[in-house]
Amino acid sequence: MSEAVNLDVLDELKELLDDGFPLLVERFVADGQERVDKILLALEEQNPQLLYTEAHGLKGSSRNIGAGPLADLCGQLEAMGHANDLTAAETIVAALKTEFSAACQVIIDH
Amino acid sequence: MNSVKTTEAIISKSKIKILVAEDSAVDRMILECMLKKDGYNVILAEDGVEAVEKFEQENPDLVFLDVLMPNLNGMEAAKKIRALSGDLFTPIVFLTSLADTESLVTCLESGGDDFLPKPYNAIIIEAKIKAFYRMREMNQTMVRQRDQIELNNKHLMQEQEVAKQVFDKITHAGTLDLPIIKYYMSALAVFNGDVLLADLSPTGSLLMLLGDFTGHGLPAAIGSMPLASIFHGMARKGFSIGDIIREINGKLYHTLPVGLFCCATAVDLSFHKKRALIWSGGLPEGGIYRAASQRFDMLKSGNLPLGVLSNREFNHTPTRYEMHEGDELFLWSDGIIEARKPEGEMFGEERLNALLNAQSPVADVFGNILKQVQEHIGDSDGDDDVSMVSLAMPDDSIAQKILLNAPKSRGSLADWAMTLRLNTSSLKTFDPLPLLLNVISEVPHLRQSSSVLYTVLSELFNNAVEHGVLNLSSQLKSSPEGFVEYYRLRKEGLAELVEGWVTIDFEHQLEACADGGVLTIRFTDSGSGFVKENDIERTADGNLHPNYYGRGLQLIESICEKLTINVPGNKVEAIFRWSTDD
Repeated sequence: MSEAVNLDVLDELKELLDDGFPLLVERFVADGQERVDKILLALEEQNPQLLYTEAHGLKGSSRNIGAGPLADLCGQLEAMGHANDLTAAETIVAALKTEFSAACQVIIDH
Repeated sequence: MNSVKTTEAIISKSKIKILVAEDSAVDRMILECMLKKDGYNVILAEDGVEAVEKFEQENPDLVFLDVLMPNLNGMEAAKKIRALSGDLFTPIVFLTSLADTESLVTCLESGGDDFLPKPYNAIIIEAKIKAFYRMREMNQTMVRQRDQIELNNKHLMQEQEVAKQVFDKITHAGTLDLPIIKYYMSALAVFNGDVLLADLSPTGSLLMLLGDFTGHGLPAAIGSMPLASIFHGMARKGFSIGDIIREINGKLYHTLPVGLFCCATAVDLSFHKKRALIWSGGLPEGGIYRAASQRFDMLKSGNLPLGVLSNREFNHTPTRYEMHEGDELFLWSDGIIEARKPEGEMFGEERLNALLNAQSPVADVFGNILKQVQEHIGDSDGDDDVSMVSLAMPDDSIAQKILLNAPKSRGSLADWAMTLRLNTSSLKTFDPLPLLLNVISEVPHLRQSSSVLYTVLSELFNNAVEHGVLNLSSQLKSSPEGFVEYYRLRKEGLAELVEGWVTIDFEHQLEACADGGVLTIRFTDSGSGFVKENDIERTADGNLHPNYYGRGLQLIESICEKLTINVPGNKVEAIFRWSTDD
């Protein structure tokens, strides 16, 4: 499971934020869940613009927190949203859901 | 990596204010912590609208903007911030994980200066902040200096405006608007030391001076102030053009720094004598266009410019030229000859001479020259000052009208009389000659005779004191020993004088027909006279013959028109007649 999040990045962030780290974790989980929900909604509504925005947002946070695989999945969805083509989105979204949970678990456990 | 920080660096960093606008809490927190850890002053905003508000309130030095934000996205916010920032350069760095080229270009086009990719890298962030802050400081310095320059320039323009108004008033005062004068001075000319003056003299002449000071700009123009005030002051009092030129030369010689002088031509145009007296020094010669022949007579310019020689070496004698009705005098500064085309070719003497020798009607010459010069210069700024003036000899009826405006010698002594009585104590100590000469030199033209009049006055005054008040005999002066004795007695006599006086009367009248006047000088003393009744050699009208006593009075008679010694000799009257007829 350690592949879901780069632990070195997490260590650096822990050092950087110090007392703020638990809050950072909390915000990542909460904001991330919100974005994942919106991505699901976008898929349901077939709304590429919404998919693009939310996937982009989650991609940035994921990169910053060291969740590389999650960020890559977000990137794929972002591109689909940008290209107005959601045909292959469903599989990726499913993978994203799993990857997000995995990443959250690593971060919380850390 | 920044473990070795100087205190100074920390202080300056805390002064750097950075706005971070980011809707994602995680990213915002991470960037905030990175910046704070480096010591920067961080302001946060959660969307574009808040970013613009915070920017207005806090005026940060640097802005980090997330591209995709609710309410107002980063690009729109960047445009607003740019507009608010105005002249001041505020670096805007987009925070983005956008990867496609198109989006990155759009970011820059909306006013961004750079990107910061996610994940954030503290080292890159620090480097970018430093680079951008340097740019901002440079820009601030530049803006400050530009504003200062703008302010200075505005100030300078205002000063020049005022100075120009003063110059224009001084240098264009007088009578340049007469129908017989045509003149042109380029806009630059006045400020580059060209000066054109004209005034009517109470003697019935029109005086004019065209001058061109060396150099350019204000330093060159400054000399025209004393020049103009002397010219107008003396012209309106009726001084001759020679006297005026001499006075100006002396003034400029003493006040201008070496190397600054004034090329000038001065003219006295007498309407009823039908002649011009022209003094010329340093300017292009100019010439007189003859109405009859439609030919052009060049003037002679034999003198050095004004302000070069001391008055002792200076020749102020003008040259006389006949001027017939319709003849027209043309003067110009070397700006005409040196007027340049945009490519740099000068107008040149050849072109000018061709125009002057074209034998076109007098009335067209001025306009033709000016037109050709202006066509030659074209759109180039003209690197010299173009000044040209012409002065036409009018017919008698126009001359009459012009002279109605001539000053009536108000400003100078014309018809006047005065009496100065020196009583005992004054006789002992006071020399009245400087005072008397001063009064006399207030009469224009009479000033030229002041050395002659000095001889007359000093002889008459000594006569009154020595032979009159002190009753000394001139016989004493026949031997050298006698001379010494004479002056001893004079000194003693004055020292011991108990009561005595000398009265000096002056009467002066102008004589319009002769262009001159008559000065009557009368010395009366308290003495009993120096002639005995039986010793009298009388003139035909019963007065004493001036031969009577010594060389002095004879000399006076040769100078004056008439010398009268009243019996018994305590009253002597000399009549001095002068004329400006040239």
